[in-house]
Amino acid sequence: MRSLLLHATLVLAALGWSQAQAQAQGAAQSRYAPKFARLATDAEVVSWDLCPKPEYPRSSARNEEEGVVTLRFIVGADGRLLDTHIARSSGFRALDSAAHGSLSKCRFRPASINGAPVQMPMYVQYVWSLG
Amino acid sequence: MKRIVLSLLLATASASALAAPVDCSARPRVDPAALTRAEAALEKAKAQPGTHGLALAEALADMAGARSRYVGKTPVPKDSSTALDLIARAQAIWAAAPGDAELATRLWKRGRRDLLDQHCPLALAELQSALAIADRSGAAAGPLALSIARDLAGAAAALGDDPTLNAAAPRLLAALEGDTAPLAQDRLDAYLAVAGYYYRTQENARAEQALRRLLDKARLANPEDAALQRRLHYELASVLYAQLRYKEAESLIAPLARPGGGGPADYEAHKRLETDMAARVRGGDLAGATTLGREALAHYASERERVDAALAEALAAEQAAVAANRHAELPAAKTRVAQAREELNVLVTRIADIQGNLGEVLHARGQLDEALDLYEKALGGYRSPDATHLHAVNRVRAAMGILYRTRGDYTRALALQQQVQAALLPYLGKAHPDVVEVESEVAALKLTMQQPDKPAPARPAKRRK
Repeated sequence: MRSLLLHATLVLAALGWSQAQAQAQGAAQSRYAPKFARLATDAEVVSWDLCPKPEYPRSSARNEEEGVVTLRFIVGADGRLLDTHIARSSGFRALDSAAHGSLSKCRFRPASINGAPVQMPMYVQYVWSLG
Repeated sequence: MKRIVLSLLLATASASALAAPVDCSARPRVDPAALTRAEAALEKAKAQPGTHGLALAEALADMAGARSRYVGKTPVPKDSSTALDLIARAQAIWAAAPGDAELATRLWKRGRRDLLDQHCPLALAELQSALAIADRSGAAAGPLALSIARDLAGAAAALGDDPTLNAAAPRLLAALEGDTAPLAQDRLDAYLAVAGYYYRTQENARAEQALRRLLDKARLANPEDAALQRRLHYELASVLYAQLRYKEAESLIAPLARPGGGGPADYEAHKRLETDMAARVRGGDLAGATTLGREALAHYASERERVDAALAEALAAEQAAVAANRHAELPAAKTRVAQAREELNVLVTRIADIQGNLGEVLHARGQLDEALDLYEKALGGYRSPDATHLHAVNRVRAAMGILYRTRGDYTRALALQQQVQAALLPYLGKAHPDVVEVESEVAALKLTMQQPDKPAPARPAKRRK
């Protein structure tokens, strides 16, 4: 009988311990760290001075083509371009291609989170205007 | 000896000729007479071939130059040789010529002239031949060969010709170490071409070596040229980034950073607000961050009323102009509508930013109902969840997933986290902390649910009202 009581006490103690642990885990889970508060920088062109100046395509100038092209670049943690994509076309292939060709030759500063470089997409708009 | 002196003099004289960066955007120059002259010279050379056919080669090169410059009214017959065919024939003759500093110098001058005329493909062929002949003369590391190699590198870089740069780069990198001459534009172009080539081919140690040497030279020889040093610092920083030496790169360019705040005042104010909220959270002042967030939302709510009214007014003016056939007023009315719509879009995105941020702060404070409400409002405010707002939208979704997990709603949490995982992975890659975190969330949720292989629904179920 004594041994049964001892056993029951041990079981209850174990139950109590596991409940406390579960509560502690729950408390840890509910402690949410807001991500917007991290020290973070976006990927960007290292310096626009290093980018070749895009030339207005002659055929586009001749045909008075104007427009805005949005380019998406995925910049790796090493600052190199991993992927490029025309997110929104100007409506003119020559203008899209000229903007893309020019920006592809730029150098990039990778994005960072808490001081460590990370891969990140960046968006750049080129406005082609003859005015 | 006389030839060497001649070459050196020419090297000095021609160094100043290329004062601007190489430009290969060929602009036709009208010189119809050049074609006639070149044709006559070619006929003469064919009739009287000189030693090794060199006269013929130069006549062919002249013809190539004239052909590429020709913008006469009479088109060149289609079946006639192109400038590139002609220069290739000349190159074949020069390839068989023995080493000769005088010939190398002549071809070098020809190449430089074509560079100045922006006929880069011709210049490239001539400079390649000049360098080969200079090398065969036994002075591969001599000043003539190095001068030619520098121009060749500049032309190759302007044309994007990496095979040529691959051949010239090691020689120029070695030469850069001992080069004590001032950093004139053509020298700078050549050495930057070498560094750029090594960067592109991911030979970062060599790119760094070239740029550090150039920086030393620039500090010594061009100490007043701040723009040059700035450029070299940026180039070097990009090479350091490429080697994942992020902190070194950042410290290199930090002194060069221009003061921010160049954007519109309302944009800068929004950025400042987000920065202040984040700083308070990092400092543990969640209550302060909450106050800032609530004040901002109140301010934006009144802005929203103003912008909505402006849009309604602009739309009414446009409709009135249409109804009254006042066509002259229509373009201005349409512009006002477009501007009001754009202003509204920007404002809605800013409100979504603050809703997401405040939601996260309240989430951290355990005020989950209000946090969830703000998350849902934020998601409704982002207009391009698959493009420019991809990261912001998925930050909010991931936070919602964590909130649902806290509440024990694992199914909804898993669906959200899987959605975030699918959206972020292609853009951020496996190593990104957000992707690592969401993958770990998904794994933990599957484990919790004891259904590791059960496919999750493609979209999260809607929240019950």
